[in-house]
Amino acid sequence: MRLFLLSIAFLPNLIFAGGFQLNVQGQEGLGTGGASVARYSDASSIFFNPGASAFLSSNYNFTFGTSLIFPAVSVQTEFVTNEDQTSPIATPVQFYGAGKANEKLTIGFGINNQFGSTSRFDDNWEGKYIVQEQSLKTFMYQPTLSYKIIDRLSIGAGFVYTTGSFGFKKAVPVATSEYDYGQVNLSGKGSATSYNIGIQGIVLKGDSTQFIKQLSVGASYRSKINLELNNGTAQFSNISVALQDKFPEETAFTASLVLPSVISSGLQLELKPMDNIAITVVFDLVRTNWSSYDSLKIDFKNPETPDTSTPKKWKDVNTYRGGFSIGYKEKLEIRLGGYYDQSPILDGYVSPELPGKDNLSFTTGLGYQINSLVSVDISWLYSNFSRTETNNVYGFNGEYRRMVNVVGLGLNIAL
Amino acid sequence: MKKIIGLISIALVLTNCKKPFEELEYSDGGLDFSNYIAVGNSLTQGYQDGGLYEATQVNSYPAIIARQMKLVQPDMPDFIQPLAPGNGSGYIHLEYINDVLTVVKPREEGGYAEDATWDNLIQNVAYSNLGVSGIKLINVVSDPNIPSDDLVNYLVLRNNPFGHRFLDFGFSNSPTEYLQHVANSNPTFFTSWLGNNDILSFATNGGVESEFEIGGTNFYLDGLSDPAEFRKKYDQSLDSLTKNGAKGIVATLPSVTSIPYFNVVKQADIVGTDGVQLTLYKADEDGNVYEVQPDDILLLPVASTLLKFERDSITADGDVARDPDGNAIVVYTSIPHGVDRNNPLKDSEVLDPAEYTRLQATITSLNIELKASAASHNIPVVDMYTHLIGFEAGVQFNGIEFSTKYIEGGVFSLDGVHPNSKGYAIIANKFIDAINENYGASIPKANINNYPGIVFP
Repeated sequence: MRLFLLSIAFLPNLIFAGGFQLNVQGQEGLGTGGASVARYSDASSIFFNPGASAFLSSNYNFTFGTSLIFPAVSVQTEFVTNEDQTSPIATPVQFYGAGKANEKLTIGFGINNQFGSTSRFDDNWEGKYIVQEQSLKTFMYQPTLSYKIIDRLSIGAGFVYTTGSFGFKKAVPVATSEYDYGQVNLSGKGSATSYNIGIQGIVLKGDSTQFIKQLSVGASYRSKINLELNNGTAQFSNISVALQDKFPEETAFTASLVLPSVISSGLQLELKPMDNIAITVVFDLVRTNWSSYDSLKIDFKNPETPDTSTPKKWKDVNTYRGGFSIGYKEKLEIRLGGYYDQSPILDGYVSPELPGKDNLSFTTGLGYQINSLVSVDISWLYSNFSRTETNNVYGFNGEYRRMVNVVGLGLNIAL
Repeated sequence: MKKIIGLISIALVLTNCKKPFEELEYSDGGLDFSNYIAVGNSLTQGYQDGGLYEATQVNSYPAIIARQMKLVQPDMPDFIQPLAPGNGSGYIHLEYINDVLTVVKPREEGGYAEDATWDNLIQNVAYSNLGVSGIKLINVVSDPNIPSDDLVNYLVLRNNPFGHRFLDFGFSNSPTEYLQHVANSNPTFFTSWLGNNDILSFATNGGVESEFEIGGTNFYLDGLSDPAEFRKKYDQSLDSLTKNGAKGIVATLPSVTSIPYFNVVKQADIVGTDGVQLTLYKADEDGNVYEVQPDDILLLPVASTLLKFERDSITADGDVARDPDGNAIVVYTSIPHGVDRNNPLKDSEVLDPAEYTRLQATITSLNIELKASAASHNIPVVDMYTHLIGFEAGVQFNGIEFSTKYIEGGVFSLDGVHPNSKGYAIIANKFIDAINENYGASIPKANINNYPGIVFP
């Protein structure tokens, strides 16, 4: 008997879930819940608020940092008690440098990794037809100008050049006598340009004898990043000979990944309750426009391979960041903070590679001034939640436990 | 240096920071699975790909249920199945021939024909799985008020290739009825999915009922069972199963027209080289020829007979000529099948709207009787009727879409009627859900994606 038709859908859709936004761009700010928009004590303001860089006190400021992100995600389904992600440790880096050209103008440059994650499961895990491994790496390069308009007000702008690479691996649900399932491996690279602007003002300034030393406010906007992957490669393996026109050994694809715009505003209140003691309170409100990002639409060059796309089910979310630090003799600073992060993923769309939930995280940190030029920062972030969720797109029911520890180290040089 | 070691040890501690889940707790709900007995037909026996063979029988839904029960009661003895060694009765498989994915039947060239052991296979042991492919509920026990019922049941079972190899039905003058085997099995727990063939064979034969006569009474080999007779005999089947107070669960008859057998061949797909839909012709039981109407359902066999220069051989008295095995004898003709009045689709290849209506009405009535019978025995019911309909639109499961589509739907085997092992795992889970719900047990469900589906060449 010959078959009339055979069209096996290439399921499911690929979704880059929320949570791949890395919020570890400055080690000092990480200690106080990540609130950094109105802060300008180190060169990371190039990223957080280019408007604030003009307020840097030294002529030259350099900040180097790195974080070690330890993700631990456990999944329980009705069939398998416990499956842990085998995701590797992520190590985003930061470098910022700023120098004063004159009284008013500061020139800066920043490099960091604003989005990225690698989520990995054992190849034969329960959800292998959803995802086996997914990775995204981005590098952002940002030349920046910051200009002090008047004594208490400055603005800044940066041009952002982004390079990104993306990888995705999942099982394909077609079996042969030799293989229980096929596999597809997608990889692609791309670049994009965007911008970052900010404004910073000092609304209150006390003299050295007063309890309130200074109140600063800032706001910044980072535009969305449209990462075009024009030369992606899809490789299908362990596929039946009868289906290789649909799932060829190799085909090209194009895709575009939209990384969301972010608008932030923040304040910093500096207090001086007594001699040798400085207290700083910071608060940020950050809105991430995830609705601009929906899915990774994949357009395969091979016409027989079905293209994939996903319904838009993302929402814009707010993150509330806050914390305080206590400094002693301008030598040692102890920081404590936290942030409340809304998950952009609607109910019914949580995916096992990056489960998300509205969630309170805690941070703490330490700063130490080694000498008049060099200081170091260490930070620790702890995030932890459980969630039971049905994913309607995949028909995947799971209970998730996600715990993330991030330790960071930063080095600042002020000349 | 100490600082570095300190940092590394912090890093190692953090790397191992996890919050794994505790093992799930199982419970048998007080049920006794030490002698779990499954009764039913081909679905229960583990028939798939148009045959009965060991490699897939090990994944019959009762075997899967038993496997899950054993996780709850590890001392449960082995679940014994009527396994057909090797190729068993022969089965359908897929081949890639001349760049085309091709369905190869057992007797076709390159097909997986019956195993050498099949012809003389007799294995009469005490089975836990009493499923017999092809058996109807109305044949499991005889009604003294129906003339020759005992003889008919004996003949039907004795000639059933999937029955007499495993169960001894005695002799025509002293038959051992199927329900006797059920009663002898003394279950401590049971599942019963009897009754499917009381409607299915009518449907798969396009409403051709194959009348025969014994002792002046007419019987129908592929008829629709009478609801009153069905109820009476269903009651008796539950009497046998529950005679020692066994608990159990029964399943309703599925909406069979949802299965691929009735949906693969679509009239809209039958087009000429110009892309225009072809006019098709069908014969009725008396040999009258009509144009196929849009609401006629074409059955799966049409996929292999359509446009072939073949037709059934007709004897002088107008009947279909048959070989000793009862298969229609095919002869060659210059007229392509199905698209010409002179070689129309057979009555058995088309389910027409009147037949469809009768079929659906009977499914509804038999399910009403089945549920009432179960209720009177205090036995819970699994609603397979609704469950199967749910798959028509496609069901997402762990990243795969399952549906009732042929081959690509992923849950039906190549015969278009019986599930594949993934499908059987879904059925097993439906039973397990119902057992858990009705008896307060928590038997873990089978991991569907660990079971094989369609195997491509």
